[in-house]
Amino acid sequence: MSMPEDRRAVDRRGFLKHTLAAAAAPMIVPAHVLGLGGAVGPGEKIVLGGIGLGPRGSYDLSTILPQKDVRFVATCDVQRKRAESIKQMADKHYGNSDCVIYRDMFERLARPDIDAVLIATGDRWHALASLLAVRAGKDVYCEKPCGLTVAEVQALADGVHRYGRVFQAGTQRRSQAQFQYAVHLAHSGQLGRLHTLHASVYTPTKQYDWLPGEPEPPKEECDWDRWLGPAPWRPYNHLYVAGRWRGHHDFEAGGNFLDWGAHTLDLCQWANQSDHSMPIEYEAGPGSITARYANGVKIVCDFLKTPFGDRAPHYRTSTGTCPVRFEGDEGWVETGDSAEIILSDGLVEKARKIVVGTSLSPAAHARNFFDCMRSRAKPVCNQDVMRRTHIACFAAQLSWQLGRKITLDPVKEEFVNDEEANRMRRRATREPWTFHV
Amino acid sequence: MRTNWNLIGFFLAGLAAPALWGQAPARPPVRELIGVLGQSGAGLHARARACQQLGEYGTREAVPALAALLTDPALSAYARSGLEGIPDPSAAAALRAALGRLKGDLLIGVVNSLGVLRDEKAAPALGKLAENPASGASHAALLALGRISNGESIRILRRALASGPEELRPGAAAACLLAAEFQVRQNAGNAAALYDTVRASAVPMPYRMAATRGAIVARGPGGVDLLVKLLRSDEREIRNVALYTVRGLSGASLSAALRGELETARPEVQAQLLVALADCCRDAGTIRAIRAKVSAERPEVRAAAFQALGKIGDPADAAALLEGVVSRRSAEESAAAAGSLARIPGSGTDSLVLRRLASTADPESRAALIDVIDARPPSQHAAGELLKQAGDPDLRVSMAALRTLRSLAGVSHLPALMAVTRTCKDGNQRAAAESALQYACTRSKDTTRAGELLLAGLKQEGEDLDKASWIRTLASIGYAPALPTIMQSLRSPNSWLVRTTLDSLGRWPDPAPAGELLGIAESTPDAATRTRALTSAVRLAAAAAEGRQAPDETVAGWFRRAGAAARSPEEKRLIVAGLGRWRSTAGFRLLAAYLDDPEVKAEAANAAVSVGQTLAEGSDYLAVKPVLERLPATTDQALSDRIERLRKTVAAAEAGRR
Repeated sequence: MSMPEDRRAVDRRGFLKHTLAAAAAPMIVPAHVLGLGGAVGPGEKIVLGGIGLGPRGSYDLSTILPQKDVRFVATCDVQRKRAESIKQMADKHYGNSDCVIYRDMFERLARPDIDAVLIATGDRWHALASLLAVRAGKDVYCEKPCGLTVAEVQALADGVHRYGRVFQAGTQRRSQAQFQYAVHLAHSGQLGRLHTLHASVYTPTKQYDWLPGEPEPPKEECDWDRWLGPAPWRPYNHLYVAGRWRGHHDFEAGGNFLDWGAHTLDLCQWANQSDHSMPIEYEAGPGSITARYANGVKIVCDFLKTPFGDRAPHYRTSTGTCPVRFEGDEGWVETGDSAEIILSDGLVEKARKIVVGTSLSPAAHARNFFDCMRSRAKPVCNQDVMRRTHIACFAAQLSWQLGRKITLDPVKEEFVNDEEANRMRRRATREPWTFHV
Repeated sequence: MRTNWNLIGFFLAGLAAPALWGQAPARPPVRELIGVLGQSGAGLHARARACQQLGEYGTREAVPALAALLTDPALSAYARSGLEGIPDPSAAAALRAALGRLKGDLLIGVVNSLGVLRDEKAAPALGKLAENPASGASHAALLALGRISNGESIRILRRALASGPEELRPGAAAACLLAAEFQVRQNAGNAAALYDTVRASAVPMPYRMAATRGAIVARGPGGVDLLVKLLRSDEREIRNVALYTVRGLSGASLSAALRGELETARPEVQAQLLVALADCCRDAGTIRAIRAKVSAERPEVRAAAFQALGKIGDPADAAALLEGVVSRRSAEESAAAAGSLARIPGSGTDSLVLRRLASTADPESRAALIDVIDARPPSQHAAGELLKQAGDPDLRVSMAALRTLRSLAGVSHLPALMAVTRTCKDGNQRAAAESALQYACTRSKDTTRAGELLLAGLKQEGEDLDKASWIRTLASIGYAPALPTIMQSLRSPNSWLVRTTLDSLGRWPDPAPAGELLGIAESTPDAATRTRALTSAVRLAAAAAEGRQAPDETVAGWFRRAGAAARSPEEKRLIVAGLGRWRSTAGFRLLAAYLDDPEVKAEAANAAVSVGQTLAEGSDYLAVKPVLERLPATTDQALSDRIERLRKTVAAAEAGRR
């Protein structure tokens, strides 16, 4: 008999690392029990299409393809190579050549057999593509950040309600065991009265420059006009298309604050049971932005220079990317993408529940979406949860950008006595696009 | 106009640099931004950004200059950002004035902006565009009218929906939905009427579904009758929109109506209704209705009822759920019942499950019941029974019990757990047993007692497999008195035990074994043993550096010894990776030495840039500066960008010092 060699050590600091037991697990109804999404019956497969699936989208898709009650049939991209790569991936999985490539999103959305779409374009397209999909009667799983501005996420959430569709934002960490467990500790009172919630974020940046213009490639290779979509025009440069759109004001949400913030601040919202509200005050400091809820609990958005950088005093490197830390007057918990969970000393004895290793796979999050498609219930990161988390992120980022404390009215979703901040909640959409559909 | 290059130079200075906290962002005065807009020599980029900034803090003085750009295909959207932002009636007036002189997409853009601003004065002009398909902006105009949602715009929309060109009716329907949404807050009766109009129109299904949802919501409690009617629809899509809408409603009448439907609906809808009831109607009537469905004829209905009980059930439901788990009528039912049983609170439920576990013969049912115990909040009383089950010959049962014991076992259970571990013949089973041991030890405040028990086991004559188990567990708790005994295992003729021991030492929670491991790396003639010893030593050194478990000089000494012992590129890469975790000047200097090693210089450059950035942003840019010159040329764009960023940080730190 040989011994398994690849086992992870369980050490004192991180002795609880593994999959969460049911205490904090979402209720999941077996898909084929319920049946019946847009056009899906019991035993029928959910028919899925993709829009703008690049590296992140293909990762999402790799975890969706094995789901037996889902069939991926079509993809749409303004970049030929990316579309072909997705088709190859789907065809290889199914052992056929059935996956259809569309260059025109509208043609793809017009297919009546498609029940839902997976959207993983760059940030600039997320809200609009989602809106066009719900208007076409499709349910939507959309990667985060789901919009570039407060106005975009408001329009998206309203549009999803308007057309009565099921929407899941790709903030997958709500479906991952280690984060569920940390939130469970907060909800069950084992941390005592919460006072500080730490959310790691990248140090925000603001980039307004344009890369040097280059001749546009043939439209069949890359349709630059469609790539820009609702974002304002600027000359083509191949680096944008290759991923260097990140950081640019016109293309990335909140100066990259939402890259992690959409996850980590979302987890803090959840831990504080604030899915129906938001922090009211936001103030930036040299290494963090502090947001305060009306009940006094604060979220500290700590700037992490690199994903695995020096994190003292708030985070351990071993918790991996996207760490969060919830502190109460009786203990604290920290966890992150490594699945390690670190508990304060007193809590180790009290919180005996063991959670078992979980990966970063978005499969559970997608599963929640598909199950809700059948029951028509709201997924864990539905449009309302997304809306508030994103607006809180934008508010935090704006306080940093403006260099002053700002106050948010969480009901009106307006900044109090701050015209400039309010004006920065939206930008005009490039013609002919509109978010009001 | 002459180009003012000084002004543009000042303006562009703030475009690319990341803003820094504590420094006011570059914010040119409004008058200067207006000046940039008027200078064609300023370039598109400068004028585009000026438009955006005017949208953020510009005043009515900027309106004419912005309006002049509405005809520019490259800048129109930027100009509209400026105009949409300026809170002065002149901005909307400028947009309205532009309607007559624009065509195509530029016209559509302005129409969209008027919709965003909900500009009521634009309604007549938009109405004309909406009713004239040749304008090319009809669809956009309809949507803008929907946003405006006043009496005049709604009249136009109704007309377009009823008798407008067929190709515009979907747009008219969407616009009516927008208008109705606004009316819900002003006049719910108007809103309901508008929704009803769309429902009755010959427009594609998504618009009718949306109108159906709106019609129910706009009616408030009065919408329940309509909801029920829709739940009975033969069209699945209509039923589904009703089920979606349920989630936005509440109240006794809703609960009663849904329960009523539960009795007559087809099975697939019953299952959906059960979930919806549990989501929205948490009253006594609902729970009675759900309980009744636990014994429904159709399995999908029973499974949904079990699931629903997990949301709103109480300890009185434990027995029914328990039956659902062990009866195993279908995998879905058992899973649903088990999931819900885990959520039912109370020690009485714990006792019920334990009694059933002790009296059940079927291994599969026992494994399922153990999983339920595992999923429930920990119950100390369960440990004894679980230890018994852990020794069960059925692997499913044993594994489930060991898994659950991780949450429940304490030091007092160690002897029994060690006994079970000795009987494990299967690798995964042993791993599960070790995991339970480790958790039992780690959780305990009395690690000394745990360590003594395990060390006694190690000192006994026994199988190497067992020794390995005790070594791994001792290493996980870092029981220092066991180190000499553990080191003796390195002299074992069993190479597997030697490897296991070396790996385990690398997981020690403090750097105590680092020196011994380096000694082995320096002296062993066996390359594989050296690599393993180095791997563990570097892991401990990096963890010590990061967690400040040892002084910098000590850690540096370990890394130097590791470097001297390393022979292969793989071993050097280990060291470079370890140094990459150490964010200090001492580690950085050691790392820099590897930049000249052709076998690892690429990895060293990556690590040096990461560490260097941290140091440069701190107070030690002086240590980074000389290393910058030694970084190798690279074709890796990402690395190149990071090097550039580091250069800028060092330069900025240097400038600040001056």
